[in-house]
Amino acid sequence: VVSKVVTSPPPAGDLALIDLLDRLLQGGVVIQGDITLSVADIDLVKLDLRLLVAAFDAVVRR
Amino acid sequence: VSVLLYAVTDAALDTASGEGLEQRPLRTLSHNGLRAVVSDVEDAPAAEPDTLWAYHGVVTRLMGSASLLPARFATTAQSDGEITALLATRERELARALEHVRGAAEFAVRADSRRPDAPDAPSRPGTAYMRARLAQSDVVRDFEAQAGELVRARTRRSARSWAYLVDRHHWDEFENLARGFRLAITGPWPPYSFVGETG
Repeated sequence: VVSKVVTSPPPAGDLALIDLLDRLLQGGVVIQGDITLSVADIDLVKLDLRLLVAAFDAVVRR
Repeated sequence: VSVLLYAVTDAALDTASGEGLEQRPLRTLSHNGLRAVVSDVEDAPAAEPDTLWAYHGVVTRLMGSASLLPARFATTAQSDGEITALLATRERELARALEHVRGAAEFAVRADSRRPDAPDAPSRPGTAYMRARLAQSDVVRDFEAQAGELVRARTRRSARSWAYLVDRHHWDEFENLARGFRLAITGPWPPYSFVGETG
């Protein structure tokens, strides 16, 4: 059991958002063929997110 | 009405473990020792930042009291039976994955895209770019060499980003090490990148 509660507020910024997208939309347990994903009524294609993550690779600074 | 899946766990969760999206109560569906945490939703949620963070909030809250496998966002079924069927048909795989992530969380580490201090070759920008990329690979390699025992598992997420599964006892040390190497790090995340073969 993870006894330290993971309740820190969402880390600010684009970095956290891109990591969030990468995890929630490309990771996790799936039920085969049973997912409907939409972003502003546009179906989100897995490839598009890959491109987004790749684009982010090129600009990240810290 | 659909059933939205948040996570799979083998821990006995408090049934009053709060609300899911749309302010609907969380429910637990069981098969043998496995439990799926779900809530009813009117529609599959849209992948918008507020909703994504809200979903993430539910899963991280659950993670505070149990080791779990997070579900991919917007994993919805038409009935409870579809979810319990998932638990039944993938029981072994899910149990094994749960064992693998027990007591650990995921960190996202990203190499900086800035060029290192190596001298540029102005007439050959492609060479400088390649040298910068190689130097960043060296940084990550050195970081991983030092992280060593702190890391239970790793996987590459993109050209410059990696996910590491880290036992909670090593979280602080791991984060400090990454910062020491000037790597961008976020986490702890639920173990989205370590849910098993089909993840």
